[in-house]
Amino acid sequence: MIKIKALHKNFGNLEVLRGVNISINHGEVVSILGGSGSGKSTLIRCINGLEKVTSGSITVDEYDVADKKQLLNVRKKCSTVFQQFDLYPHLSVLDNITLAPINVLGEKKIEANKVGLKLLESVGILEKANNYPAQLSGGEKQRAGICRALAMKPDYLLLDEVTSSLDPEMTAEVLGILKNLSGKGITMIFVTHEIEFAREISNRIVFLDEGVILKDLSKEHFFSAEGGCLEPRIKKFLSKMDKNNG
Amino acid sequence: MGYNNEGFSIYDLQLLIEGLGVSVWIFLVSTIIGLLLGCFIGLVRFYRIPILAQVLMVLSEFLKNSPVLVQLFLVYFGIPALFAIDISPFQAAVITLSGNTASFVAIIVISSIEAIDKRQLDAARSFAFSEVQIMKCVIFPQSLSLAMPLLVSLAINQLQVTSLISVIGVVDITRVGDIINQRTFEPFIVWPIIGLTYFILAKVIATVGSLLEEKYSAYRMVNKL
Amino acid sequence: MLDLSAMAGYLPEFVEGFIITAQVSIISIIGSFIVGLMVALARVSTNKIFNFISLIYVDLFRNIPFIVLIFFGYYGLPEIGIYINAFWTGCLVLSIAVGAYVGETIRAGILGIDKGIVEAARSFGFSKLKLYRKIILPISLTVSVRPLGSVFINLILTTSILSTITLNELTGVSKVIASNTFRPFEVYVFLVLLYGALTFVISGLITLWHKRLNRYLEEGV
Ligand SMILES: Nc1ncnc2c1ncn2[C@@H]1O[C@H](COP(=O)(O)OP(=O)(O)OP(=O)(O)O)[C@@H](O)[C@H]1O
Ligand SMILES: [Mg+2]
Repeated sequence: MIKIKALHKNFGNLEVLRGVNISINHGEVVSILGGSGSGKSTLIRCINGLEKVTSGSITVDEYDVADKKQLLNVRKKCSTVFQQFDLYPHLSVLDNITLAPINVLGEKKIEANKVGLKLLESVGILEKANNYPAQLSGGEKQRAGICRALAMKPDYLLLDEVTSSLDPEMTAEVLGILKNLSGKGITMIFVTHEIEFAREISNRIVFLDEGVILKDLSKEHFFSAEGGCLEPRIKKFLSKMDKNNG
Repeated sequence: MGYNNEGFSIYDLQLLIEGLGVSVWIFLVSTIIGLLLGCFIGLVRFYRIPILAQVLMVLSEFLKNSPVLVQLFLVYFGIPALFAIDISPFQAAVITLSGNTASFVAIIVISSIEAIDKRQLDAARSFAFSEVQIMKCVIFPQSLSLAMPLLVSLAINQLQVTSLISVIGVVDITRVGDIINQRTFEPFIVWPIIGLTYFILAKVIATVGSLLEEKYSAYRMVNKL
Repeated sequence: MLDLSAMAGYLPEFVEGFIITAQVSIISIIGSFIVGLMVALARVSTNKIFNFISLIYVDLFRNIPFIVLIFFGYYGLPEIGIYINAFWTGCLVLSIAVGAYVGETIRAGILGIDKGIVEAARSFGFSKLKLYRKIILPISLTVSVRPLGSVFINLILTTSILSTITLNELTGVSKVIASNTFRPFEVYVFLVLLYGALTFVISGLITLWHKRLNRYLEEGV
């Protein structure tokens, strides 16, 4: 379980997160929505300790993110998929995937390769295993990014706008893969602008606005008339998204 | 003495080869020490270790911006005079050239680390790599690839700089040239041979360098999509 | 311990040395610039022979240590009947040697010019000579101010090597002062600081000049 209590995060004088409280249970698929600059990425980066919180606490299962030693355990449990893929350019796709399992989890190279190849097969880019990231299309890069995250056998998957640097066709590829994952008991927290997709796969929607949680509802509730949709800010956001998506 | 042309002898060839050995040896030793020291300075400055970073920066700025010949004099004549210790020409040469090389290596190290996309480092952190592992697995291989061409041209330059140690009495190829020239009075034979020797050495370094460059930059050479 | 007072009496000698360093530097900067300009034009010309000769020139002079060249010049020139003193030998060899670096720097500037500009000028009927004089050289020199500056700073540091052919420039007089005062440490530390300050000031000026000349390039950004 991820528990976030009274989380504040400032960048200098800028208050980006202003008291976020949320707990996420095992197996949940949570979509985080919100306007640009509302603090979604910052929230994700606080969970895996890439940003130091200003005040408040975050725990992942029994581990405290603020504790330097426990943070490594948190990071072993949570894998992140990044918007810009952020693959290591000097390593082949397969080596990108196995680098952390071998060096962090201490897996044997043969084992790690086996797992890596299986993952690549499951996302349909097995034949790219020995290519460098620069030789892949955006969609293929992101599929490799997902494999890299899954190779750590994470309990939690953090995804920050993983399709927003992709064209529609590639977006569909990647979303398809995420959809397959969502049924498998892995806890997923993803920031997205794909409302339809969020509606399809998540069971909970969190709406972030100017650093506070405006709504935290089950999917059914959120999209129902008396749920979140009618809240003016959310209504505006949703209609804008609809326009953007086509 | 010296007014009659004594001509060349077979010993001149021996002298030349010995001088070549001294030049190459000092080049190798000072390059290796300079590389290690330069990496250290570069890392201290990259991680902004207080005080040490600033001190090393000022020091390496002066090493970069003053004549190596003067640095040689400072080490060979100045340090023994101030601290009442003995420094041989060879030691002075190695100390000076290593320090000088290090100050250039440090710049290359810093700029090639900073050229790496920082988001990758965050990605690696999020996968629970330690900072040391990130340096070893993510930063170092890429920086090496970026730094290699710069290091090769630095090496070619530093080879030429070694010729200055002849001035404090190290018998390197330049000194051998001077000795033979003083005896034979054949500058048009002696100096072209010495010059050509350096030229060939530079080409050897360039060739080895381009092999290394290729080896470490495979990932940047692939056909981009 | 450190004692600077012994050096104070030698200020006039330092100044004299400094003046010689400055003179050699200025003359050689001008000389190497002229040589470099010719090398650069030969390198980019369509004439195969010019190409080849200038390529060899650059390759040779960038890969042979300056001290070897200066000894060659100092001992060799009289052999072929050219009797010039250490000062002019220094200026000559510096101009020839540094000319190779200047040539490559200007060439890089020429190669960096937007092809469109050249095409446009051609379409206006510029002759080849005019094209170079009015368009290509002014642009390439403007963008090369900073890189040329570092070549020339290197030239200034290299003048110290002329002390080995008996020229009493800054390093040469310092050698004398160091042995007269028995204070080599102080003298050479002072010299390192002096050269350092000199290059610092000059590179600062060059950066300013570069920014001024190239300000129109930044406007669009
Ligand atoms: N490292 C930083 N330093 C200073 N300000 C930052 C930093 N990172 C983020 N911010 C600011 O914090 C605010 C929230 O940023 P964040 O990236 O979390 O927004 P977001 O909800 O992810 O937006 P988007 O939908 O555009 O990705 C923004 O105003 C941003 O400019
Ligand atoms: Mg974001």
